[in-house]
Amino acid sequence: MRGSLTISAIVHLVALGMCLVAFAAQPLEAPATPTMAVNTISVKEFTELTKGVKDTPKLKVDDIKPVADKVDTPKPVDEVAPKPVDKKPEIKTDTSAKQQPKPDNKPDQKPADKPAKPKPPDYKPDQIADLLKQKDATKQPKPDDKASPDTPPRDSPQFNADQVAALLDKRAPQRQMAAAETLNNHPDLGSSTGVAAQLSQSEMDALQARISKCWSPPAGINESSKIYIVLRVAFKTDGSMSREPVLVEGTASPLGPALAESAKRALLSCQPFTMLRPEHYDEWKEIEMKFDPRILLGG
Amino acid sequence: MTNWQIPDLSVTRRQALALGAAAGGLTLSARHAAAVVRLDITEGNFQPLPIAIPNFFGGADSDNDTAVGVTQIITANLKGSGLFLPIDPAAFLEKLAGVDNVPNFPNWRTINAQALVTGRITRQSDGRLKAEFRLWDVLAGQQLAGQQYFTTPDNWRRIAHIISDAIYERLTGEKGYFDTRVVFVDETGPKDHRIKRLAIMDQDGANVRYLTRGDDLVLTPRFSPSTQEITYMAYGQGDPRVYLLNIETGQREVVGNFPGMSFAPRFSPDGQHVIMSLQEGSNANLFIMDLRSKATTRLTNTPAIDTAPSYAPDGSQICFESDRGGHPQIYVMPAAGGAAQRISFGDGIYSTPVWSPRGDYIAFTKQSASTFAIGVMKPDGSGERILTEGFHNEGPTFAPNGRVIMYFSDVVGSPGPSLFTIDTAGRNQQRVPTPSFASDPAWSPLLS
Repeated sequence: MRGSLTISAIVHLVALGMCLVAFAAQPLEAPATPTMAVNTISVKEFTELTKGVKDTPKLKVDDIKPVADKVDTPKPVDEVAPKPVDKKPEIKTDTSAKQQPKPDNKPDQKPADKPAKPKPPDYKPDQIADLLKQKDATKQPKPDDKASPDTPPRDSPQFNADQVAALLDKRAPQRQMAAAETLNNHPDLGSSTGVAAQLSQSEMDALQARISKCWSPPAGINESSKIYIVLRVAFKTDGSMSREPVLVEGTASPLGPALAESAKRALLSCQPFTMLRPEHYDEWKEIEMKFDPRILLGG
Repeated sequence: MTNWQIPDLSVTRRQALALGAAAGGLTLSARHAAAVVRLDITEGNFQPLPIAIPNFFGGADSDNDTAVGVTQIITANLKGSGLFLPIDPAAFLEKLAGVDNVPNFPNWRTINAQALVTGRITRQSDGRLKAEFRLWDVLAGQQLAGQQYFTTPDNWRRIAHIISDAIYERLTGEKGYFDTRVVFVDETGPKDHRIKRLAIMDQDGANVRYLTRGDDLVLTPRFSPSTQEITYMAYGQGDPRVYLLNIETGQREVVGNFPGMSFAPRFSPDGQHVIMSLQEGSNANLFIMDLRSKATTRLTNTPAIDTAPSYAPDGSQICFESDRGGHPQIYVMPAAGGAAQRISFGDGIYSTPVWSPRGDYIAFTKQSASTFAIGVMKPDGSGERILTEGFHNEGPTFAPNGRVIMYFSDVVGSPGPSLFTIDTAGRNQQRVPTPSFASDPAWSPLLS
């Protein structure tokens, strides 16, 4: 029993060792694709998610946060630091305002926000002074109550979690590479195996499918004519061609001109290629396309 | 991980696997593509090319009819090929200023034209006709071709065919087949007393001319590569014989003087030889005759009927029909003689093999059960495809570019056969207009 166990162990070790050697000798060609977290939800959940809430505050432009922040500029740090200091006294005055009469509150609240509206004074006719005084007394706390739901969006800059996180983040050197004039939209650009900035396979496939659909190879091509051409195509950011495609490679054949022209016609008639995403423009501003009808003809 | 002596094997294995996976992961390197992305386009759609062919200009008012006629022939030729989609002139947005002006391409792009043909027909002071045309790539905004031709006025149809070929060749990359003729057997009279005459016409059915008077029964006419001569089989009173006929002079001569029947003749690609079957008792064998020296060479010697020989375009091999295996089948052998190899193995009887001028296919008639089919196969016998099937289809002949096959066909109950064309993909079947019934077509090489 023990002997066989040992033999088994040894055999496994040898096999694994060989695997290690084989793996090391032949690196896998598969590119590391960025993983995408997927959450499966039901239709009901989706409906609830997307139906929206009527009373939510509108998002300001500032609140739409990029996936990654600029962290090499000192701005966020500056913003975060002074603001809490400025606001702290305000919060104190707010609490005191609840107890004190309105006239005192007005100057303090105005610069801060709406809550101190001039409404209560408007409802102060002398005739029914007593009743109104009572009402005023009851109304007064109301503006404060209203203010409380309003405050969070306004206060949010003060308590921006991202900015706090940025303060706490000590990985600045690692993330600086992502910071530039334009914000980085690629979640994994900082990682060594990130490919999000590259033309994705789906874009390539979509482009390929689109051109294939538009391409009508010249009828003179047949199984025996082993011919292909390569065009270098330059694009503008909107996916249209910036100049006429250039023939960079091709089989010498009397069919060559007809093949090249059919390929150019396909590109001209189907541009712009909107499936190419502008954020990857560096990757697709020039593409070499090989038009090879051999497979099409079953050759 | 250092302790490999752990008695619990499962743990060791798991750890080892983890190690293996980790090692494998380490070897993965993010290999970024080269500077320029490369994309392979290996699929496409063979679609007819939308082409705009506005009426050609007439040099003078009297030339307008000819100009319109030329335009109509070009349109019909290109449309008939199945590879072009002429756009209805009613859709044209631009009235061209002249053949020498650059068209306003956006106007033609709007109607989805990808090519545009403009032209002019002018009668010269010496009486000749001058035909000019320009072919434009609408999307690229470039001229693709521009030619002018001079001819006698009665040759205006041919000029239209020549222009059609130029357009076809420029856009498809292969030679056209419009400036060609077809020789065929014209059949008139009741079924039991048919008069069969040799006739010749343009590939579109125009300009029919009769070459024989109908005294003899004529069969299997074939063009010589020079397009000036025809070889065919005819019999009147005596044995069927193979004849040679000069189209222009009408001069006729018997090919050889053999004791029995001679039939199924065909020219060699160089036009110097005729290959045919000679009767030997109840058998028939293949012979080649040199037209200059009249020397005859035997190719086969079998106790069977070997017939319907056809040369490969390079002249190195022949295909023929033989019943040496019991039923007629197709065989291929070296043109200089040697062992024959059977290439047809399907059910039924294979006959009338013809080698494509392009060399890629052998077309045949296949008889199975009660139908006759026209099909193609590769010269090694693979890739057999049936292009059309029916009550009676027979006698395929290739257009000079090898794309289109003409054959004759009878339908059930019809009083006589008609000529049809179909392309080698089995698409675009069309009837060829003939004055009466017609059979045994043979397509000429390009005339120009």
